[in-house]
Amino acid sequence: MLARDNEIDREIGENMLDFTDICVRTEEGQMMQNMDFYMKCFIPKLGEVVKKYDIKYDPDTPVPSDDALADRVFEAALEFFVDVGIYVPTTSRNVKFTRNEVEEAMRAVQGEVWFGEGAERKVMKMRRPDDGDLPWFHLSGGVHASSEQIFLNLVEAFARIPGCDSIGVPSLVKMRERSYRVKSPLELLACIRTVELAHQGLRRAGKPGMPILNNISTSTHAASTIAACNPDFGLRPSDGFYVDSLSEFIVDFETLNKAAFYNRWGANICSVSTPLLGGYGGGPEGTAVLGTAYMFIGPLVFKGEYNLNAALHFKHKVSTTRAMLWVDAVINQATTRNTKYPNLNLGYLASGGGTDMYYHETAAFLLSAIPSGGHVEATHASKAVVTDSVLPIEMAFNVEMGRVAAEMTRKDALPLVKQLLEKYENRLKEPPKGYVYPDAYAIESGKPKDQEYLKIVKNTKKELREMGLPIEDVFFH
Amino acid sequence: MTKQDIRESLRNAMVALDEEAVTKDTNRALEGGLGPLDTIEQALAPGLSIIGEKFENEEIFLPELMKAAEIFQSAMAILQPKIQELGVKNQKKGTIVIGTVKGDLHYIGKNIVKILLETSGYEVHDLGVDVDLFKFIEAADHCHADIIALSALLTSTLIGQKDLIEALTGMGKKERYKVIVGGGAVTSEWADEIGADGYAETGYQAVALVNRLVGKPGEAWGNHDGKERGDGD
Repeated sequence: MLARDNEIDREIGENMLDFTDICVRTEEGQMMQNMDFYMKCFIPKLGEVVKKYDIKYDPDTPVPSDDALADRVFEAALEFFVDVGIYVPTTSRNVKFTRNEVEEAMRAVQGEVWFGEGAERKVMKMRRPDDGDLPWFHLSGGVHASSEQIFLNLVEAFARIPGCDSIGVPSLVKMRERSYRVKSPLELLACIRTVELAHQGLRRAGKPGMPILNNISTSTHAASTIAACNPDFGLRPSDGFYVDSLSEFIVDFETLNKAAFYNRWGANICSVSTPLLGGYGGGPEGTAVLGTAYMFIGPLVFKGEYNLNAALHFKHKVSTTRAMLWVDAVINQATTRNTKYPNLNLGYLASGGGTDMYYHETAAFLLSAIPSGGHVEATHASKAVVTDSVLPIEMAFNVEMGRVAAEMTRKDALPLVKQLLEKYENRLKEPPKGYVYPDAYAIESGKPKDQEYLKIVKNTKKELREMGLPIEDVFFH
Repeated sequence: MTKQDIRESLRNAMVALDEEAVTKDTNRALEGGLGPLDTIEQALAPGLSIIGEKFENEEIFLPELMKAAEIFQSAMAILQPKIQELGVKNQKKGTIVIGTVKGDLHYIGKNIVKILLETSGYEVHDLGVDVDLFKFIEAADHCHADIIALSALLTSTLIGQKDLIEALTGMGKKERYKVIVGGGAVTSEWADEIGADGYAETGYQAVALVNRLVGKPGEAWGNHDGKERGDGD
């Protein structure tokens, strides 16, 4: 069903903008320079709403359970977004939306999204803070794989992990031993190859209908993305398709070209937000408001059905500093208490897999996001920049730990997160590198081979259990 | 008010990001006989240095840093005519051409580095995002740059950094410029692999790297003979 068909959209309400209206509006906003958008609009208004709504970060409460704070953040975000709008660099225009238009778009959100085919067809439902429901587990290796064999091993392993709801595929580093460049024909070919391999891996796991949610991680270009969506290569509308805003609030035509195609294809659209703590959003308070305001861009501008929040610390490039945990918790609480827009959370870790710090960071991140109402995209090791840094046992830990976190309230999680922070906070600047796939796993069998690696995993899980986290092994135990 | 009082007042105004007070104290400094370079070196630059430390320690963030750069430029607009009257040349510590490589539209990290370099006394030519590699070289030739600084967030745009070094080498210009790289997808291993002269993970590290490569961190703004400086209070 093409739920985003113009006529159907029109029936929702007189203030409902369809995707064509959005495209027209990108040609009509006030013209201004990019820096003026930030210096004259974005930064002053964000500071104003943070003050007006009395948003305050408390380092001693990295997982707050203050519903009033969450609701104030939401109101601040709405006022901020309506006042500031987005910036479209392609037309050098600041495009704004009325409060009614924003609210109507949010009301039209379904609150549940169906993914996948056949036996693997599943629904991602809205969660709320402290609701005890299991989150969606999206096990993703949107990091680079050095060979097609490792790529296949990873996809197969992810799909086999009990509890895995969807997978994200790695990106291929090279085509015929050559690095491809952005917007090149080699990139387009690599995108198609990525999709072909992903389906091969899913079939090997006996899960051919399992949804692929990160679209094509190899792709940076709309043409490459759209080319790989040809049915002959295997992507389906029931997979998930990321549409990214650039930080902060930048929506260019490249992005809208992807959204245009997905809208007409009837595909599941995921808005992606990467608010930067320390960037134009300023400190934790401004970043929490900003991250919440991104949730309006998805349903309104892209016609998205769910969001991926990948907030980052501007300097450490991770999601697991004390302030970042607070930011993510607040974004999730503000969003899930006040909208029906499901939100996945992607945590970037400083450390590599097969280190105690990886487990400490992941546990802290999930204990912040899940009791706050969020869904899970598995954490990425080593700031997601080290080739072959995604490891299957670490992917499975996200399910194991996520199930425990889902049983907890925000108040339960707080003391545990503080304990975990004590273990890794002072190591963020120089984190342990950990293992890469060829060192820890046998390429032929895809099974772990390094005993020291397994020992670290086992010991760290034991340590977490002793902290009061009843983790049950689901994989390679 | 003694000269030292004026310096302290101006430095404090800079740290407090009080634009009105900075303007007032900059004029007061000139009227009080401090001289433009003394005003920069003993008041504005130390204030900026404190702001840089606060940024590094996460006490302030990019909006405050941008505000500091804006205030500093407004003070420089007052001081610049006086500097020219002194006939002082080469008041910057070095010249840097900076931009995000072809195909990459990300800019926040690049902007942070730009502001930190500017407020550390460097002349920075920002070419923006999605910059063709020959534009970098043309700009570096044109402004006699010391350093070309290349940002890339995406793995598939990293190759633009490699291309630039290859082009510089092919044109026989590799020794003329230091090439430094940074951005989300960049690692020190990548910098070594492509033969870059340096890599920095953070903005503050970028300033330290530039200082090491061309600057003189202990020396302040001017290549001057001290004539304009007051001899004390």
